[in-house]
Amino acid sequence: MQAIPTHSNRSRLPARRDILGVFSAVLFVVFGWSIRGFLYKIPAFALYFGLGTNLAILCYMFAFALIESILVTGTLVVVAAILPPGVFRQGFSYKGFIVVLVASVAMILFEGYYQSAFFKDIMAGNDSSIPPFVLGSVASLIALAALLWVAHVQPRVRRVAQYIVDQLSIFAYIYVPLGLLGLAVVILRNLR
Amino acid sequence: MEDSRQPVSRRDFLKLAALAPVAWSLSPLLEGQRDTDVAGEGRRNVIVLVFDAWSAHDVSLYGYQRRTTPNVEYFARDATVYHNHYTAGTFTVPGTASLLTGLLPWSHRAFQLGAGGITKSHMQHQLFAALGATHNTVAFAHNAFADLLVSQAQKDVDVHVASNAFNIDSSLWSNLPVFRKDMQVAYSSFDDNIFQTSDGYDSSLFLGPLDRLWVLDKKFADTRKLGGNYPTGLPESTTGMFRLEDLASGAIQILGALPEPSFAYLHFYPPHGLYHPTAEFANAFDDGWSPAGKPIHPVAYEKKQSDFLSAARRLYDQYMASWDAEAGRIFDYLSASGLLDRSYVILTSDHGEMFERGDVGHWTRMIYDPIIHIPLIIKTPGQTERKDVYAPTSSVDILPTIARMSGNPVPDWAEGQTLPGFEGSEVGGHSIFTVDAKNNPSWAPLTRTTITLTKDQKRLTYYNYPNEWQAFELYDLDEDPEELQNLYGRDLVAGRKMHDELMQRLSEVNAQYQGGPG
Repeated sequence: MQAIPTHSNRSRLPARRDILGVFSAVLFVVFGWSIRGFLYKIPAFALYFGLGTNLAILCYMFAFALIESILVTGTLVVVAAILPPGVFRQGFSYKGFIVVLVASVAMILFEGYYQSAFFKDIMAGNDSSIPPFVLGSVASLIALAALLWVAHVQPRVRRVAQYIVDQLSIFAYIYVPLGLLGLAVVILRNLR
Repeated sequence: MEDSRQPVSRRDFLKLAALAPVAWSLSPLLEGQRDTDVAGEGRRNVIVLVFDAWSAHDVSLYGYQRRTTPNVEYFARDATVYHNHYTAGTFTVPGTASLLTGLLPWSHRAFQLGAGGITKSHMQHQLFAALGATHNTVAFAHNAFADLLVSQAQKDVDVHVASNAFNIDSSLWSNLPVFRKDMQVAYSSFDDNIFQTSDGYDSSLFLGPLDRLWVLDKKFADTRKLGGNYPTGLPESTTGMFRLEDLASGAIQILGALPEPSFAYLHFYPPHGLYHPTAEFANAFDDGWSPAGKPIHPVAYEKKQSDFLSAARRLYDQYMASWDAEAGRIFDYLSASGLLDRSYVILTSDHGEMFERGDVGHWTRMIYDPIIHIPLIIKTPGQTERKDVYAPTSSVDILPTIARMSGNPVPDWAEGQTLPGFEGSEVGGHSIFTVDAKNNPSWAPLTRTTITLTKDQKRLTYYNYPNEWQAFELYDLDEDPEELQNLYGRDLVAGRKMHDELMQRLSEVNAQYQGGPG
């Protein structure tokens, strides 16, 4: 059976369709988390800001989320371009999705642990010998390797990952315009 | 022949380079100085120096047993010292807003910890606008929340020195020059949400955690490199880490470049916590003294015990003494440069600090003397003798007084009155209100709030937290300065009179906000 090419032969970059798939997954988690943060803060902001100002804050968040999504996707694409094709470029879509999934969970756990109070403790010298983020990074890498291995040996897992990526692509059509709108609002507010 | 020039060290060069933005930001004003000098002939400068979270209770000038402020004492030797001066707000946002607007918190509505700021209808009612026609206006607010209030008055501020200008680093995105025109929203978006400066999750999923690691690494590096004189770590404001000496040098730099006449508002973060005294004062008050314990209050957030509160207060005192040593350099500069002879210098605070009844600092719903009784010292050009004023005064009285000092009319919207010593009455009877409404929407009537009325050496406090704690407390400040004997219900005459006045004012204020968000 002939393998379906998942990357461009003319370029070191993954196939455009794969990049867009991963970009959609990144947009989904980044915008989703950003909206969660905004909803969490809304009761406090509503104490002193009106609707217009709250919408302006939302625009800042959308603009930043778009930039963050581009940076994260761009980093994954660069990594895929640098590494040998078999490592990341081939199957970029499902591999990228798994990376985004593991990284998202790791970052949420990291944020839960590294609160301001924790910062104050370690600035006061109450730090452990091995920084928790090092342990967390190692655990995340192990989880990532395990998931990639499972996806490598189980075509069904790959198909599920690819299916999810395909379904998430709809969010690109929602979040990219929202991000661009946010960016325009931020620029206008700071130019006037 | 010996060359007397000192080689410029790399450290000196870096210091000068760090101050370059200040010189650059002041330069347009200096270019225009000739015109403004003509316009301001005969007018004096007005320089307001605010030390954040500076309680009169811990200031030796006011009789505190620990010698926390020898330099302030020296500065006050030929100044007017106000002994019963009270802030209208209990933390930076309402306290500073009242100082700048001459309005009580229930009028300016800046009473939450955040970027809400002064309500639109009062945004033009502030010192910079009131003095803008006669004075150059210069502002530096080291506390991000005070800086946000200054940014609201941006169009009336000729020179707005960035709040992080004298920091070792800056941790605020909203301080970036690109957001200067939209600082409030940028603060709420970036520093209160996308990247959290307090507890909570960043809204940036990937860059947020990286930013945390980067900030932490930077803090460690800065502390290792520059924290030698600070045994418990470098001081840190809402805008980043700093050294007291750099802050004082920065203030001197600003003052040295002031075109005349100027109105300069310089708001310094210390002695606001976290308290990091210098090595010289790190053990200065290890004297074994502990203030008498007081019962934990029902609305206390932290419920800390006396030992903890005493230790925190000692650290606060040591940090205050450290800052006083550096502030002394500012006072010396004012004197040596001749600015003192040409300026009204007002030294005060935005709110106090409290170490009793379970809470530490000023994040509390309680209102007792340590958190609202703040220093006020005014040095008038040519003043050669100290004058002591005991009549009660409020932070909202500063604006009308400055207006009078600067030859401007007292605005009709001002809620305070001219201070004694500046044509104001030296007799008591002035109603002093302090309002804490951090849990109340700014657009709604005040229904979750603590309000205090201080009058004729009595204090009535109204705690209104439905389903939690609703009570009145009345204290006789002459007989019971520690506010331990609640006379409400016992001193019926004073209690009833003050109760009626407070409730009447509250009812009038609330009537304007019955409609909900505007």
